[in-house]
Amino acid sequence: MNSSRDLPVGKRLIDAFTMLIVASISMVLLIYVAFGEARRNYERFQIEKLIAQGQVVQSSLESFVRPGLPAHQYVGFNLLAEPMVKADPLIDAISFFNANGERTFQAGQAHNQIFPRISETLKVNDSQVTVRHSGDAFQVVLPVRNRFEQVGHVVLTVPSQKVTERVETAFRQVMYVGAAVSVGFALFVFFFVHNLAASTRSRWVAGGFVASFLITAVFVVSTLVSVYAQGAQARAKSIADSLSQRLDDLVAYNINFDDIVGIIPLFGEYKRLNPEIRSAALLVDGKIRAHADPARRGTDWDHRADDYEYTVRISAEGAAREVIVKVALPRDIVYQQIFRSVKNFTALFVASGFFAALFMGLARSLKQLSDSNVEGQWTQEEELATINLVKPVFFLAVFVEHLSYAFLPPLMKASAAAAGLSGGWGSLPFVAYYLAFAISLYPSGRIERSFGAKNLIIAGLTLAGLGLFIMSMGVDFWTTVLARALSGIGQGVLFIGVQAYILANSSPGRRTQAGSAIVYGFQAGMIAGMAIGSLLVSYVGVEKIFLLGAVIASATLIYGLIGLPSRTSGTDFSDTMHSAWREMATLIKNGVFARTVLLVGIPAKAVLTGIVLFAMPLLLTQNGYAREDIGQITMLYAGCVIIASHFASVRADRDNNTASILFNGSTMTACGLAMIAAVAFVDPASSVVATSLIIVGVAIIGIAHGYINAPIVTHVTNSRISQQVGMTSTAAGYRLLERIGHVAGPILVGQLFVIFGASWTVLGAIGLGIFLLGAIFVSHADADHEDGVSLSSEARA
Amino acid sequence: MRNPSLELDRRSFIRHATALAMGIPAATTSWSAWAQQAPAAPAATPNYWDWFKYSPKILEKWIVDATDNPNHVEIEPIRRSNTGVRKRMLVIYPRPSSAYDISITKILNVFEDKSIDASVTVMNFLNDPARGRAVLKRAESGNYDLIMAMGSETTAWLWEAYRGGRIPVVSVCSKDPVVLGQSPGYNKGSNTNFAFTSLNMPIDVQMAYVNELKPKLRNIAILVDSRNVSAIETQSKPVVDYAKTRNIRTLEIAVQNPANARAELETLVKDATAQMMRNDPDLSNSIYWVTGSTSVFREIATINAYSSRAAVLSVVPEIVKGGADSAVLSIGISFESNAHLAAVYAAEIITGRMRAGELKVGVVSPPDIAINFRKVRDIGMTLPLSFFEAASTIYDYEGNPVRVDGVSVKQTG
Repeated sequence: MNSSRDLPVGKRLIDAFTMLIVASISMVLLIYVAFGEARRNYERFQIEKLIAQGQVVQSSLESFVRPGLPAHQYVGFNLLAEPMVKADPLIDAISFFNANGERTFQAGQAHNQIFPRISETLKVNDSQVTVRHSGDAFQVVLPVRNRFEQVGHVVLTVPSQKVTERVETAFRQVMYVGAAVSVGFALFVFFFVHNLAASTRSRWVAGGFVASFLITAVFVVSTLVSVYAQGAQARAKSIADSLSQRLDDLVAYNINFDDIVGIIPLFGEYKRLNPEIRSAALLVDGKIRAHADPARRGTDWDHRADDYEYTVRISAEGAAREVIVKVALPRDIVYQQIFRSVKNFTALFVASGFFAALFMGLARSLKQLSDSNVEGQWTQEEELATINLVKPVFFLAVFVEHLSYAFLPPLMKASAAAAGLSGGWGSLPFVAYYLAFAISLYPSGRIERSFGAKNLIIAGLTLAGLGLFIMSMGVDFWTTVLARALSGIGQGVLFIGVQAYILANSSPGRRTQAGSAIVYGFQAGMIAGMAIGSLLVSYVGVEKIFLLGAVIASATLIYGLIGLPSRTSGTDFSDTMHSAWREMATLIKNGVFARTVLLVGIPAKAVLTGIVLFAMPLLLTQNGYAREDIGQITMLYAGCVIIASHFASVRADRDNNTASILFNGSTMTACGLAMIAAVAFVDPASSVVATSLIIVGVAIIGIAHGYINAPIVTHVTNSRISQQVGMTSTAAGYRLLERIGHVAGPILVGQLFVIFGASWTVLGAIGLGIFLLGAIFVSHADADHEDGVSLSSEARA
Repeated sequence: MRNPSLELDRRSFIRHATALAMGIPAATTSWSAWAQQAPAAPAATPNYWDWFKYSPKILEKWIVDATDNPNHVEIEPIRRSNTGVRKRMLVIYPRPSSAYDISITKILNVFEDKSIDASVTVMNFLNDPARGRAVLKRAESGNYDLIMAMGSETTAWLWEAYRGGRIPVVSVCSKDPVVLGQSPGYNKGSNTNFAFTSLNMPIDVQMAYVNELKPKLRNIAILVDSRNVSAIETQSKPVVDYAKTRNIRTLEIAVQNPANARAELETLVKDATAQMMRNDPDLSNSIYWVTGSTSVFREIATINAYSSRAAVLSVVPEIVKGGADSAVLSIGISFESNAHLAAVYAAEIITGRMRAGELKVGVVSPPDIAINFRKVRDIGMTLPLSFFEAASTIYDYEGNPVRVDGVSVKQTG
C-alpha cells in the first residue's frame, strides 16, 4: 500500500492538472448558470419597466384615438416620448407605427420597422404586449386601440447589448475570480496535498474543491444581489409610474377623491397582481388617502429601511394639495431570488463533486497504468485502475440519458398531442425505452463473447448517442418513440458491456467491490444528469440538451476507443441469461420468490419509472414548477436512495429480518405517495405547503427504495429456492424480473392518467395499492422468515 | 362615355355654385375657413342640401358633386387612386336627419384616414319602396361593391327587399338589430349579405354599467316619448323587462304630446320623485333614465328641477353638457361612434378582408360616457373610477369641459 507522504512530481502534476480542468469546468458551469439566471431576471425586471414606460405612451395615444380620431393627428408624441428616451439610457427609440406598419412618430434613433412577431406574447393588464427579438435588439410592442379597431403599435426599441451589458460587466469580474480560484486550487493540490498522509489526501482535495466552489459561489451571490437590487428598484418604479398615470387626470381636473369610488380597490388590485410589493398608497398632503389595506386610510406612510421605495408626485409643483403615489418593495424579494440561485448552485455543486471525484480517479488510473509497463504483473492497484477507466463511461452514459428527464414527460405528452394522440400515449416513449433496454440485455450477453466488452460499450454508446441526436432534431412523435427505443437498446448493450468489462478486469475476489462501480455510476450519473440538464435547458433549449447529450456520448465513445483495453470477460453472459430464463420458471413457482418479486420488487421499480421519472415531472410541470425544480426533486430521490441503501444494508445484515425491512419499504413508499397525493387537497395559494409535501413525499419514497433495493436481493438469495438454483441465478433471475416493473410503470400510470385524469390523487390510489401489496407480502412473512433463517444458518455453517 | 374635361368643369361649376350658395366668398371658396366661422344662412342651396349635409372640412379631401337628380349625390376622393381599381359604394338615405349628417361625415373621414380608394354615391329613396327598388337596380347594374343602409328605416326595408342579394350591405345609424329580430345574436354574423351595427348597447351591458354605479338600485324611472315607437321598443321596454327580473321598481314616464312635454314632465317627474322617495327616502338608489326621445331630452332642465337628488342618466351623450342643465352621466353610443364602426366594417368588406355575413353585430365598446361633475356634486353621488377613466367627455365642478373626445383640454391641478 502506498502510504509515502511524497508523491512523484509527475503524479502531482497530473492531479493538479486534472483538478484545474475539473474546477474550471465546475466554475464555468456555476458562473454560466448564475449569469443566465441573472440575465433572465434582470431582463424580466427591465422589460416590466419598459412595458410600464410604454403604457404611459400607449395610454396617452389611446385616450386621443379612443373616440375615433386618426392617430397621425396626435401632436403630443414627441413631447411625451423624447424625455423618456433621453432619461433612460436603455431605450434607443420610442415609435408609433400605424396599422399598415408605417412609422408615424419617432423619438430617438430611427428604426424603420417592427420586428416580426416571433417571440412569446405576454399578457399585461388585459392588453397584449409582445416582446420581439431580432439579432441585436428587442422591441417591446404595445398595441394601440380605439373603440373600433387596432390602429397601430407603440414600439420601444432596446439594443439587447444594453440590457446584458450591466450583467456582463458584473460577471466579468466573477469570471476572473473563478479562474483565480481554479488555479489556486490546482496549486494547492500540487504544492500541499502531496505532503499529506495518503489516507487523508482525498479528504483534503475534496475540502479544497468545496472551498474553491464556495469562494466562487460567494462572489456569484454577491454579484446577483447587486444586479437583482437594481432590477427590483426598476420594478418598484414601474409600478409607481403606472399607478400615478391612472390617477393623473383626477388631480389634473381637480376632482375630489371623495367623489370617486374604486381608488382603494385599485391599490388592492395592484397588490394582488404584484404580490411582491409590500405596500402601495396614494398620499394627499402626507396622509394616506388610499392603500391596499383599506384600514390604513388617514395614517402616515410607514417607511421601512429594508424596503426599496419609489415615489411619484402627481400634483404640480406648488399646487395647493400635494398628491403622491408611493410603492414599497421589500428587499426580501432579492433574497428570495438569491435563494433560488443558491438552491441551483447546490445542485450544481453536487453534480460537480461527482465529476471531480470521478475524473480525479480517472486521471490517477491513467497515470498508474502508464507507469506499469511490466506485462503479466497484475497488481491490485492496476486492477482497480483498469476498472476506474470504465467508470467515466458508465457515469457519462447514465449522465447523458438523464440530462432530459426533468422535462421529458411533458415533452412527450406535448409531442403525442401534436400527433393527434391522447395524453396516455405520452408514456409510450418511456415504455419503448425500458422495453428496448430489457430486451437488449439477452442478445448483448451473447454477442459479448464474440466481440468483447469494449466493442459492446462502443456499440452501446453509438446507439445511445444516435437516439439522443435524433431527439435533438425536434422530430415527430413516432420518430421520438424510435429514438427512445434506440437509446434503450444502446443503454442496455452498454450496461452488459460495462458489466462484462468489470468481470473481465477484476479478480474473482474483488468482483463484488468492482460491481459497486455500476451502482455508484448509475446513481451519480442520474443525479448529475438531472441537475445539469434541468438547469441548462432554461438557457439552451430542449434540442440543445439532447445535442449536448449526443456530443458527450460521442466524446465518451472516442475515449472508450482509445482508453479502454480490449479484453473479454470469459463469462458467457448469454449462458448466464439463458440459464436465468430457464431457471426463471423454477423461481417463479417458489412462493417466497414470487411473492417478493410480485408484491415488492416489481411495484418498487414501477414506482420509480412510472411515478418518480414519468408522472412527477408531468404533474410538476402542470403545476407550474420550473424545470430545474423538477430536476432537483428527482435528485433528492436519488440522493435519498444512496443514503438509505447504506443504512438498510447494515440493518439487513444485523437483524437478518429482510421481510420486515421490505415491508417497511413498501409502507414508506405508500406514505410518501399519500403525502404527495395530499397536494390535491392543499389550497393552490399555499405553494409552500404543496412544495413541502412534494419534497418530503419524494424523499420518503427515496428512503423507502433504499430500504428495498439491496435488502430485496438478500431476501431472495436467503430463501430456500436459492439453495436449489444457486444464489447467483436467484439474484440474476430477480434482476431480470424486476425489469417488468420498469416497463409496466409508465404504462400503468399513463393509463390511470387517461382514465382518471392527470392528478395527484391518482398517486394516492397507487400508494394504497403498494401498501396492500406490502401487507399481503408481510402476512406470509413468518413462513418466509423460517425459510430464510434456516437457509442462513446453513449458509453460515 | 362622359368627357373627363367637361366632367371636371361641371364639377368645378357645381362646387363653386354650392360655395356661393352657402355664403362663402367665390374668390377663395375656402371650406376650412367656413368651418371655423358660423356660416350665414345660404341664399341659394345646392339641390341636395335639404336632405344631405356634411361638415365643410370634408371638402378638403373629397369632391361632392350634385347631379341633375336632387336625390342623388356623387362623392369622389381628391387623392389619386394608388391601386388603379377604385371601389364603388352606395349610401341609401330614407330622409333627412342631422344624425345622418354626422354619420356620413364620419364615414368619409374614416375612409380618408384609411386611404380607402372608393367613390361614394348617396341616394335618398324617400322611404318609397318603388324608388328603393330603382336604386337597387342601379346598384346592381353599376357594379357597386358595397351598400351602406343609413338609418333604421333603410335597414329594415333593405332587410326585406335585398336579403341574400349580391352586394354586401352594412347598416349605419340603425337601432339594435337583435331586438328588431334582424340578427340572431350579438356575437354572430348574419350569414347573409348583411353586416349590422347598432346604435343601442345590449341591455345587459348597459345595465351592468348602471349596476356598477348603483349596486343597490331600487327605482328606475324611464322617460320616453309615447309616440316614438322605436325608442320604446329598443330603449324603454328592454330596461323595464330587465328591472322586473331583478325586483327593481320601474316607473314609465311617457310624454303623450311632445308639444306639451314641459308641462307634462313637470307633473310626471314630480310624482315619480315622490313615489321613489317612499322606498328610498334620500333617492341614493333611484335613477331617471332618459331615452333618446328628442321631446324628452330637450326638457332636461325640467327633469332636473323635479328629480331632487335622484341621478338623471341618459343614453344620449349629447345630453351631458357644461352647466346645470345637464344629465349627470350618459352611457350610450353616439351617432359618430356608430358611424365610425360602420366605416371600419365597410373598409373590411370593401378591401376583401372580411365577408359581411361573418361580421358580428357591431356594438361600440366601451360606450360613450360623459360626466358632469357639477351635477355629481349637486346630488352627492359618487362615481366608479372606471367610469372616469373610460369617459370621453368630462365637465368639471364649474361646468367647464376638461376632457373632450378623450383629450384633456384643461389642466387645473
